[in-house]
Amino acid sequence: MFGRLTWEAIPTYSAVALSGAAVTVLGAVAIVVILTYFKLWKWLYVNWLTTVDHKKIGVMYIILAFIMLLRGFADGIMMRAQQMMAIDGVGYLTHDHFQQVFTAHGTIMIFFVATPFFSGLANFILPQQLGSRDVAFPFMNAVSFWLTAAGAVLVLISLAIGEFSTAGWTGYPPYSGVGRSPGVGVDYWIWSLFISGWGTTLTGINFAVTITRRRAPGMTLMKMPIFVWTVLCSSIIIMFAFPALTVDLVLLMGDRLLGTHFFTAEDGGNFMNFANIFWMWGHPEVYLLVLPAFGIYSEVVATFSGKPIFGYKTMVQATVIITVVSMMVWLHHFFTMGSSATVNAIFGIATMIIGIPTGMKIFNWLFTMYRGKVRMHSTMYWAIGFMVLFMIGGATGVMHAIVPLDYNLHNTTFLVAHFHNVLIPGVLFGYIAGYQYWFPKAFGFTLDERWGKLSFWGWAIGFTLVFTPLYILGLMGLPRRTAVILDSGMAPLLYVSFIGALVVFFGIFALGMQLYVSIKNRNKLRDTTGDPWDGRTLEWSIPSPTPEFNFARVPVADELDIYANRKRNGKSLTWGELSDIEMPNDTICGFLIGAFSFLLGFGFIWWMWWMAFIGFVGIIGVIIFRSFIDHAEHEVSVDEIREALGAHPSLGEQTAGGVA
Amino acid sequence: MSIDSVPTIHEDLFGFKHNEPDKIDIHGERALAFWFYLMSDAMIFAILFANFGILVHGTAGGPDMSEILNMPRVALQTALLLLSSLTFGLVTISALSKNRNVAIIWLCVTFALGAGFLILEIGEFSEMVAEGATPQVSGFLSAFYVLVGTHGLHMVFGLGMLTVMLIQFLTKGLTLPVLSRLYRVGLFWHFLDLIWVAIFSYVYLPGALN
Amino acid sequence: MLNPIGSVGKAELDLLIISTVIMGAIVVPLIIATLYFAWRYRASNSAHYDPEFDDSAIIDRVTHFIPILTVAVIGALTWSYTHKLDPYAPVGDGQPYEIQAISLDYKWLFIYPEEGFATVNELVAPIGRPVTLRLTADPMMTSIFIPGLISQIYTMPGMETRSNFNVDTTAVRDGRNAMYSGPYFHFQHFKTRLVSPADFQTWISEFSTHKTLPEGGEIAHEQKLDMGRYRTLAERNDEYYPVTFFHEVEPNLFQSVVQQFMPAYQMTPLPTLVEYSGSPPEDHPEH
Repeated sequence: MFGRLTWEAIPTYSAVALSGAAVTVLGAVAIVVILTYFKLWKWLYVNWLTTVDHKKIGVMYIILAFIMLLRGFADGIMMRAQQMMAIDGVGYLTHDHFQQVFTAHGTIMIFFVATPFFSGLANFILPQQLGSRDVAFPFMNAVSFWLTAAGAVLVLISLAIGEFSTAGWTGYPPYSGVGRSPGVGVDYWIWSLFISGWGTTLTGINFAVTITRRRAPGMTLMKMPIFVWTVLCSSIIIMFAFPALTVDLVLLMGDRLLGTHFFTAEDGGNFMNFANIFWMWGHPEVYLLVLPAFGIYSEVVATFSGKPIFGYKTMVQATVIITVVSMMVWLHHFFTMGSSATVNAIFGIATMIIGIPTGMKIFNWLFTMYRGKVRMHSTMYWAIGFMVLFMIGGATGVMHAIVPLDYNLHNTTFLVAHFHNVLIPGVLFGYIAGYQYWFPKAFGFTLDERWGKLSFWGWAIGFTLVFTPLYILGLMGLPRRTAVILDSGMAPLLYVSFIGALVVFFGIFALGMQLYVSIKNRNKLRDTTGDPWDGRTLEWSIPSPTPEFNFARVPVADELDIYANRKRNGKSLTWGELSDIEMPNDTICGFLIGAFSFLLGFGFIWWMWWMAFIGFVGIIGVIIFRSFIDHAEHEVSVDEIREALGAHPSLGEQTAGGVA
Repeated sequence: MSIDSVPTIHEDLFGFKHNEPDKIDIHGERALAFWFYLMSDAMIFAILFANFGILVHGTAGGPDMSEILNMPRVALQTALLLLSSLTFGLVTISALSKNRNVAIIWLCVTFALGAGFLILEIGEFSEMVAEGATPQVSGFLSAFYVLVGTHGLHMVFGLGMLTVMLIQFLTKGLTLPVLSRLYRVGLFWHFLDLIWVAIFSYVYLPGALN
Repeated sequence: MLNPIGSVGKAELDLLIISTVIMGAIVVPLIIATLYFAWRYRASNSAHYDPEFDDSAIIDRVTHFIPILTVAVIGALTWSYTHKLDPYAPVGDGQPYEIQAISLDYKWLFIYPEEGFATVNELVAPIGRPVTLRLTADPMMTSIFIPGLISQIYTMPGMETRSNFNVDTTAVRDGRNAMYSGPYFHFQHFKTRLVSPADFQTWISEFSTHKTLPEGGEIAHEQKLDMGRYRTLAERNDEYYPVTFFHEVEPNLFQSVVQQFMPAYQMTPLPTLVEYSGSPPEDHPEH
């Protein structure tokens, strides 16, 4: 009945693990209690669980990303503490627990922080920048989110029931094979990635169709905002790269469950093939994360410099080149596999070629500020902080691409420092900038400036303190993922690194304080114009918070930065007809598919086949049920639209105001 | 520039005319999304083909392709599947000319051909298992089963879709949403045919030539 | 890496310095320019404001040219150094001295086929002549790394990889497995002693009789390493495995270990630099 699930699944092996489990369980209980006490279940169901509104789905993605960021950061600081305390000693974590921690840290940060953050921001803003009322497939959008959430819940549950993988976030066999990792850990890893991976694939298809088919009249490809371009390229990467991850996970599952020989060392298998397929997904993955961040920086720098982005065409070309080349460089993750010098050199040079378009982008942001009027808003802090710190990450990336250097730097903390240097200042700074930039569009008030700037300094200084020592330790030859430090000479640098982690913690705390203070002062921070930053693109032409239907009348967008240009010339946007709007109905089907896929995954992990069967049949059943519904839309009448918009110019009955 | 002068899509991929500029062409969008999905699915098969190419010599003392090959059966499978693509084309033509009953007949024929293909494949797998050539024997057999089996699993889903189409033909008739769905099921079915041709040429044929 | 011995390590340090200088020459001015532009064009300053300045052919050409030139230079460096520092290529003239290394859970076994003995967690190599390490693993994939002497290369079950070095000064270096392969992988480290050819012989005779290491610590002595003893040796240990000296090794043990995973594996004689053709051995992963 319960497969291999017994009472022993409760992590009693260490006090630290047990308290992690307790926090998870108590957190879940607290949420249930709060919802019940304040009688919020109906509110939750009506407004969130059943919603197909791209804006609400976007907000849920970002909430998920922040929750998982806390968990991922807790793992990160635990690692720093362990390495600091385990110099010639054992530290406070058992070896097995330390490995779960670094595996969970990587898995969570990539799959359940960065990816949902991207999906959330793009979901929220993409239709608004396109002048569209929703993404092309609102229901599928909800399915994507609930699949991602199901994967995240699997990771969180592994803390309380069973264990997480110890094979690292890359899960290389033969270590992740059933011989060395017989427990449920690797299965948790496989299923959380597999389920959320399907969610991301559907998101990619959804965004790609939305961008190709739902642009405002007049918006040709070369008139799309840069952020839209980067999301389009990310969607293309998703559609090409995620199948590789899906296949890799299924084959590994076959090896573990059925005893096949895809990635075993013996009987004709080939475990390096896992690494090949994994990085065919994994390398494009980091570009799909960083490209939208580049898009956000482009929007932010242009807006706060009061100028169009410099070299729009170059930006687009660079984005497309990065998209294409990102698929051709995966072998640089294992130069040390022993390929011939020629193969390694070709992949090394291909990797550097990505530096060319990226370098051009940096120059373009620089020259966007040139002859501008740069407003030092907290959002702009993140963008400038990114430019400064990311360049160092780019430089060390080029050093990794120099093959003989990589032979020395591979598997060391230099590598760890490098990819954090591109993922934190590159990706995360961008997403936080996007979160602060577009926050008023979601909730109708801006975020507190002071705490925003404090958070930036916490992150920027903390990041530098954590990872500069790791660069140096890497050059000294310290391997990554080691639970014990055998060289006591490394102690001072490890202490500095831990202090840096505390400073980053202050940055996270400041982010939370910023939200709290802003909600408290929301009336003072209220955005009444819908255009708090003197924005350039279509989303600023509509009220904050954005109404359900986004645009009462569809705008014509036949030039780049059209909203800024019209404001400058004192003209209004051209709007389409005002008529009833057809909006998709809410449905619980998306949530159900997520719930059933959770059962499918959980059943497979614990060998509870009946549960997996219910999950599988449930998913198929809901999909078939949905296919029989032809009319899933309702009308928003003209009167309702007038009421929702009040006197806002996007109703189009008076000239556009808001000229700065 | 007024909104009326902006060109809109007047005819979607399935030939349905839309002359209302502010109405979103949802069926065209769904068709496009399905093409994108097929592209992702093609990537899945591409990686499985590459995987097969890498593991094909990893027989670990077990049988190789020429020993597990039963060419007459594979030829029959191929014939059934190619024929089913033709009959699916006939489903589409009769559905577009609003000939519901004829469409239903061809749909049933397509289903029968697809089911025949699957029965032959299940026969092939069970014979191999009976002879001891299970996926656990070698990397080569693992790769063989997963490649051919993934195609077979897609066929199962395809038959499920044909069943849904049949029910919708009967209960809803040839409405626009049903026809648009038929277009996508057709894409899927022809795609599976195409993949099979690749499997036949890359997996079975080299085995026959050895 | 920062304190190299041997031509390979020194060339790699040169490369590190060259690339750091080149990247620094690009990145440092850009960082300064970023901060300067943000300050110079701040809103409160009355610097020239041109809200329509969004393209310039000259700037475009310069900003295209700088990254392309940089990558061209570093790409050329990469091409030549990757071939020059190919880990498979023997370093220096003459027949390489062969040492076979097997990565076990969590210890290193070094076999000296010419002398017919083996050591655990202690590598001794002669200076002044090319040395080739033949590498494999059982059962986990790991990465051998002796910072300053040899850079990393994976050791993989069922496959053979190689690494080469040639040093002209005596030294003692730490080597390790740099790749996470299980909870106690940090115990998989060893001392590398680079000794003169004359000392090499003395060292062998001393080491085979002595009970303690120069830095202190015991040397365990065992007679014969055959397949049966190898199996027990290969079992997992969860602490540092003491340095052990085997006075006799079953011939072709290395080959048998690889053959557990790949029955068709055959050992080939090591090439000299003159004979080396620039491609990895046959049993490279893409077999």
